[in-house]
Amino acid sequence: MKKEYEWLPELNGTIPNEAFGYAVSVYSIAYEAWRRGLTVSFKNIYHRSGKFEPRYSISSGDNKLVFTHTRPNVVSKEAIDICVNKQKTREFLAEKNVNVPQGLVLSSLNESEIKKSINHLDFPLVIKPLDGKGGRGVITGIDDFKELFDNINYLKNDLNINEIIVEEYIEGEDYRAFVIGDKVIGAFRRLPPHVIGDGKNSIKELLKRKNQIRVKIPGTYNMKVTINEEVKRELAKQDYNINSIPSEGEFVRLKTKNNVSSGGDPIDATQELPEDVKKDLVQAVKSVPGLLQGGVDVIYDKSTGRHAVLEINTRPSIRNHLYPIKGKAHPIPRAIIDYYFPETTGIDYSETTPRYYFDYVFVKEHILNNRLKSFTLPDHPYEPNLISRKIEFYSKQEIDKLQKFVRRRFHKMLFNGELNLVKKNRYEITIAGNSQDVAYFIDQLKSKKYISKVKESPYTKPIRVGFTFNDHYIGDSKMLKKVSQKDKEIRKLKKEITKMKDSKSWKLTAPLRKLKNKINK
Amino acid sequence: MSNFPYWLTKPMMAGARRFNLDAFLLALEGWRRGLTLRWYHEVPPESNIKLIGFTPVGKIFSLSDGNKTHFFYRSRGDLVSNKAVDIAGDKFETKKLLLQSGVNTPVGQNFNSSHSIGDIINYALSLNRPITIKPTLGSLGNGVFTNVTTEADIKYAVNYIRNELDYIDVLVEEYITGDDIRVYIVGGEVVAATKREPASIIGDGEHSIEYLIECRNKERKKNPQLSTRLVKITDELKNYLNNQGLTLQAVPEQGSKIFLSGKANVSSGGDSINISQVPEHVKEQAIKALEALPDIQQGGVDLIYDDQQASVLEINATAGIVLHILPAIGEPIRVEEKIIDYYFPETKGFNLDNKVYFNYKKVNELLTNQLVSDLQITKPPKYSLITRKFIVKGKVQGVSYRRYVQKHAIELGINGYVKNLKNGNVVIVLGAVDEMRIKEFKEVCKAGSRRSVVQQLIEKEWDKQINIGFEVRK
Repeated sequence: MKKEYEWLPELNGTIPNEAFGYAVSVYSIAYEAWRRGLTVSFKNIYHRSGKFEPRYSISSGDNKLVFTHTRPNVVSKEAIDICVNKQKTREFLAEKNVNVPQGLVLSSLNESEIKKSINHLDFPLVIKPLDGKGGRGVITGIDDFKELFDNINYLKNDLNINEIIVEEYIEGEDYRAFVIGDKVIGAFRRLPPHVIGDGKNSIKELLKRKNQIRVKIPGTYNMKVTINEEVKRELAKQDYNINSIPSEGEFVRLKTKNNVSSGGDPIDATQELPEDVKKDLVQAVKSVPGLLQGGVDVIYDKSTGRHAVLEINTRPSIRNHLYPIKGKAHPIPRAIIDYYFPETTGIDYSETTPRYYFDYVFVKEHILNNRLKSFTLPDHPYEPNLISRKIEFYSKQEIDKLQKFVRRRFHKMLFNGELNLVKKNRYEITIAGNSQDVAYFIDQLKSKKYISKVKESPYTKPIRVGFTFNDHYIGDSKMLKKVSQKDKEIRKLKKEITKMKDSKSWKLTAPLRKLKNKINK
Repeated sequence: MSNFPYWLTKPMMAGARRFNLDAFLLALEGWRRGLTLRWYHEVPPESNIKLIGFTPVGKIFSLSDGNKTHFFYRSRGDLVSNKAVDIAGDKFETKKLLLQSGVNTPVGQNFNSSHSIGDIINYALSLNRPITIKPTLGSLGNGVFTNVTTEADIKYAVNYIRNELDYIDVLVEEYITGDDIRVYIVGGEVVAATKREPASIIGDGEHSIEYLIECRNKERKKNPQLSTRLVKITDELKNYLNNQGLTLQAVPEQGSKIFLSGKANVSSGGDSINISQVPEHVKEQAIKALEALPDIQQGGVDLIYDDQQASVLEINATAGIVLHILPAIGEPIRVEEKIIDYYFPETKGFNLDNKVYFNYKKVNELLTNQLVSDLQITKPPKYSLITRKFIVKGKVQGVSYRRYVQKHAIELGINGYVKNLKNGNVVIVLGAVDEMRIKEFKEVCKAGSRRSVVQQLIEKEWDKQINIGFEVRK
């Protein structure tokens, strides 16, 4: 299949698996700061929509920002309060002439009162909770009063929502744009979960393949589309079932909901939005005092050119901007760091050094388990003449000793990289360091009696900072443990024998044994 | 003696050996009092604390009460001046200052590269013999020759120090007989005194010296302080035995005590014996000795003493404290408490919770492998922990139950872990500061995550220690 997307080159291979999924937003911003030589620390956790996340700080001298997800602490509390409240948002935006749907908060849920208060609005209408998150409780396309009252009752009784907004329904597509300062950095829209036919395979098979791709993409990792009742219903509407074979190029919708976490696909739509809409998006963020940045939800109708800003998220996920399934990724992390640390604009250590990245597994192990309150990443390596290499060799040396030897060299010569046990007695080192030091280290390896078949080759993949040992030959090391256990037992027995031989009784019985030997002969 | 005093356990001390153990025990004490504990990969720019030895990883940390921060290297805090560290590292420099302050110390002289072996021998023979010969800048008893009398032995010692150990400066001084003692001083007060005896074995009339050494080493391995400080069979040891007319194969009589070395350092396999009654004249000399150095509020003083006299051999600005905390013989003396009392007097007498600890091994791993450059341990709860174990039965695996439990545990400030059992149940081990919270948490665990069905929750006693944080165990 032809590649229809273009992702950020700096994130290619630098995001560790542990940071896939929701953590991509956090990792990519921290990574951008880190590779510019800024100091990055991860801090205590907070709870965000059912998941623990670390806070992290980025600093340069006295300028220090603490981020929660994608939002730094310089975004004012007042701005956050305004954005949480959808009615307030509407008022602030309308004040500055940003296009917003007309609407209001229902002051009473009494039917006649409602009728009175919304008589200036035309059907179709939308209702939603005043401070809801995600798409929960949002009902669109309400055509008459009966439908309106039914849905208000549903929100009130089933979802326990009492503060309800009613607003006019705007025709068009949903877009999410990331705005910082005076710029719209990127915008995407979502395609509902779907497969595209090839005239050969069933929907079930096409979906299986699609999911296989999704788990490999950092942005959609863990967000598979599973075949459930909803999917079957949607297919039935189109006169299909999971075994049908759609024709080549045919778009088969699997669900109505199009959010990415339930299987929707983000596509880059930055070019689809005309300049006047983009201007309005920038204006929207400016309308809220102290906001500085935000993920702006806008509805835009290509055919009429009409648009309306619905809401602003102060800490939006940026993973859909980074991993569109179609189109170009937009460098939101770059824009964020440029904006808050303008003195680092254009600096990129990784252009003149081998590419490095930092691990994320201990964020999960230590921060998310609340063992550590914070930690600081080592600085991005930066010195002249850094190179990276792959070194393969063979050794029968004990793994622990070999590991210790290599780790010491890494420590002493400020190397970064990994020692991998790939097969029995077969090792591979990926290393980045000063070119002379690396050459010296390779000579050292060659001079060791217990190391042979040293082979050096260029290495271009990103290098993880610090030293890591990976055992890719687990079976063997388990065996070794057993062997060393046996060794211990043997040593123990030997000791017991010396003990016995040392004892008086053994010495006293020596003549008897001699006699016995003689008899045996 | 039990190998671990009540506030320490084996699992929490994993990975903490030798000098790291000094740092760990001191850091643990400060942390348990509620101070902010941070570990560093190298000395941070805001501190100029002086290092000695090879690597600072796992030995350098800071404690902070929010207003003031102190940095520590092993057991030494930043109130000890770097100048004092330099002086104490030079045995001759120390001797000069001690003499100036009127402290008893053996007569002696330093010899540097401009002095030939002949010069040293001449001087040595002019002293009252026996004498001691040691490297001026040495530590841990390396290359210290005691009780030297003959010219041949002097020659051997000097050659050994200069050629084998690569030290140039040699200190020659009179050998003083008496008991060897290490006194620890904090803020001008003697807080601990530990007698040190050269390594010895007691004969049983049955086994060889070699076998008895092996037994002794095995015994020492059980004590975390002594486990790496074993008696090694070296030429030095064989010579020492030869001088007594013995060999490794000799079988000493029952009850006879055979010394294996003339050096009392615990590092070279000696025995540490805590004493509770320190003679006044020993205290006096030790305190005076520390006062002779500029700004050294804590440290160890080595003395030789008898009933009448006490003579100072050297000062250790980065003295090990584990020697006093985990002696081979005698009651533990908690020097780490005194040090924290001195640096953070307002935390004195704070009701410590001995049930909570942090995983030093993991901390050290992150720093050693340079995956992080510094880190801060989560603070322990402010009150003693009440610990429990829950066994949860029902549909509790594969339904996000553990994540659910973790989320609520962390929100309620509960430490411990949750783990799937092979039989389909889930075990939760927890420590909380009061029964109310345990009750609340129990309700949460009973309610379960959205897809789980809890049939039964059995509450059990649990008296082991709790690692800080709340982990979903694999």
